[in-house]
Amino acid sequence: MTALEIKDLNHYYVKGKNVLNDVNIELEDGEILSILGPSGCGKTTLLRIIAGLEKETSGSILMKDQIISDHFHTVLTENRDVGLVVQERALFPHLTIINNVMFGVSGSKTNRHSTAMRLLKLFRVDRYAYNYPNEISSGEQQRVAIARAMAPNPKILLMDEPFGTLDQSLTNQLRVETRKILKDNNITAIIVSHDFDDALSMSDKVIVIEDGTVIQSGSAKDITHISREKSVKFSSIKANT
Amino acid sequence: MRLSFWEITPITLFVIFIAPVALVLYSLTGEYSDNWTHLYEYVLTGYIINTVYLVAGVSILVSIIGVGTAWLITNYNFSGKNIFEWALILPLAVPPYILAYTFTGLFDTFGTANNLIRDVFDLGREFTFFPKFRNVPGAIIVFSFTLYPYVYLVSRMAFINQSRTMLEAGRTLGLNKFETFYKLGVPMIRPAIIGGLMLVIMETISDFGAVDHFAISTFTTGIFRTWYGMYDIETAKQLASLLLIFAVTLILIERYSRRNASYSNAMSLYKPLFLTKLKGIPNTLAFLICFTPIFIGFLLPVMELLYWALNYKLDFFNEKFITTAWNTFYLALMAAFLCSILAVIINFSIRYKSNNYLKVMSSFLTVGYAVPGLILAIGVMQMLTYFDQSFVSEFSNFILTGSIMGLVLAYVIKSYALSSSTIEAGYQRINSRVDDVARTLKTSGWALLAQVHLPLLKTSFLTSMLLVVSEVIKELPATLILRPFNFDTLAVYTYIYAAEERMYDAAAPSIAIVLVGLIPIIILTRMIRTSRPASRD
Repeated sequence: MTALEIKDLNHYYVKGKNVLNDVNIELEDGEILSILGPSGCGKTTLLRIIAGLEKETSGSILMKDQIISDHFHTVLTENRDVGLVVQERALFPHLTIINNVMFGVSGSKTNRHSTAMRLLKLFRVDRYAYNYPNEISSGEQQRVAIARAMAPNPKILLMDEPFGTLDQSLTNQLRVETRKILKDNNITAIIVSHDFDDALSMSDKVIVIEDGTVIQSGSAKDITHISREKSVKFSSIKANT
Repeated sequence: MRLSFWEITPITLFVIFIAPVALVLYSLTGEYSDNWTHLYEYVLTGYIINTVYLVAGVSILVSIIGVGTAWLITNYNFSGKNIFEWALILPLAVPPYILAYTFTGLFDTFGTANNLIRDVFDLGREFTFFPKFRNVPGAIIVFSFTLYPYVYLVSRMAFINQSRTMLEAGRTLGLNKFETFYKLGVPMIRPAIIGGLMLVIMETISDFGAVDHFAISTFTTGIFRTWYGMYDIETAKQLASLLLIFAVTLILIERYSRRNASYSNAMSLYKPLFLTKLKGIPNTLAFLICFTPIFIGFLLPVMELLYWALNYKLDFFNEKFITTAWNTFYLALMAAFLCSILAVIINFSIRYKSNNYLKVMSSFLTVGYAVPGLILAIGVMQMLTYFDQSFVSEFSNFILTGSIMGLVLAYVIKSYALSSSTIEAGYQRINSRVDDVARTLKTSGWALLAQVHLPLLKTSFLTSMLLVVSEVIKELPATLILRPFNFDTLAVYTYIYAAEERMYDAAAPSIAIVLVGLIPIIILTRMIRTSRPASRD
């Protein structure tokens, strides 16, 4: 079943200066898609539009064959059933780790607690359940952020530069762990990154955006093969960050 | 288009807040009397020069004292630090006009201080050690040492929330401790400092008591003289309108100066500061830097007031006093809670709706602070009278004019700027990505406000309450005009005695104002100290 379909999506802040041009994406259930591109290319804007945090100028978005946004109506972010992980983690500093993960889960307190604990165990951060976010490392915070986004069982998990501030070895480790968890749980995910390695190691599909336009799309292997030049370019971006 | 609660509330408040001010501004469209021509030709330039001189001097001095002491308290351990941390707020309990009166009593030619020096050194009556105080520099000192806590409070809050990592990055880039302070620490909290400074400026330009006592011609003294001396309320309102325009210009300049700046911390990356222990001369210097403003702004006037009070029958703990103190206290708490909750709702609406119209509207809600209390009271009274005549009396015997509601409304309009700037500074420290994530977790509107923002704004909310309580306790002119029949506050007592220079009589209620003002300051300061979640490490 199609988890997400984006049709002819355009977006601008200033008329005549499009930040996204005719974007078309189709994503099947359980697939992981990476949106790759340099800083300022429009990939985060695309993610925010999918999440409902911004309204596209034109085009339509369908989730599980249901229209969630088009010219006539918009489903609010809180009703879209999407999970969001951001580079800054944005954990709620006044809540303990367990309360952060329980935050978006509905149902009885026992059920919410067991769901949160199961995810914390999955990400191996359960021992910090009753600590506050500032008391754990950035890698652990990122694990908690992903667990929190997964906890309400969203239709799609959106991740914006999820490993952007972490060191290389931690990033490698988290990529492997996160992909395994997403695949084991059949979670559809979109990862926005400017890092080619993120895309290669985590996703089934990759699209490359430059200046708001999708310039390439395909499987991770296809992209590596076709855009050798781009690979060099993105590697250099990565080396500079 | 269907409007939600988050749009309707700011619009409704805008109408209620602006109406009294608009009634005053409307006077500009009326006829201009001969008094206006006289003022325009002979004294208006003097009003402007003195006001600008006063604002510039107070801004500089208040920034140095407020930011300097906040930085010391946040980053260093030194003798008396734990006491200074809350004691630096004590001058908030002393209204500028009380400090002006006590300073006159202390430093005038035959004041306590000059007399003491003559007695100790056996000098003649013609000898005067302390220079004349009733001038603009004297007023700058009076305002600075009573108003610096506004800048201290917001700077301290911002410094507490500053992450250690950013300051350490500065040190590794070759900055010494002082350079880290003024090149990194201060610029990073610029919005908070400017917010605090705006409150000080508004307070300075709308004060009447202190400048009148020092016989300095400013807008406010001009307004009062025109009203009470020339009995020309229309010209007084026209003068007040000019003051309003000046205040609005300041607000717009402030907004413009930080239009594109984003100063929020990535909260999850927050690391609390390590405190450096000071020893020897630096320890003494830090002690003196913190002690001096408390001494000048609080201890000195309180000692003088006590000295005066001891020469007077101390019988103010009677039933009348308790009733008056209670009136003052519950009015202040009511206004403080309303102001703070409204400021939270308005600032949340702006953030939640990302609406520039709401932002502009919110700026206008703060202009009440720059309106002299008396003029605001007239505006509120005119508005309430209109309501009474048009709507309320149709349905009940209750009238709004002369009720507690009118008084609270005036307090809320007057003090809203204090709450708004404090809550706004608090919001700037909450990363907007927190909202994005919360919304994907099905939390929006009231739930987002109650479950995410309010806990993170606890410190700002308490600070806002503190600022409004201490402001309302001191508020005089609006209280005099709008208080219900046979309803007194402590400030009313004090003002009447002080205006007649019966300082011995004014001393006891003045001390009571200071004492009542101290209670919320002490309680809330302690709560602020323990409320930062990140300080648990």
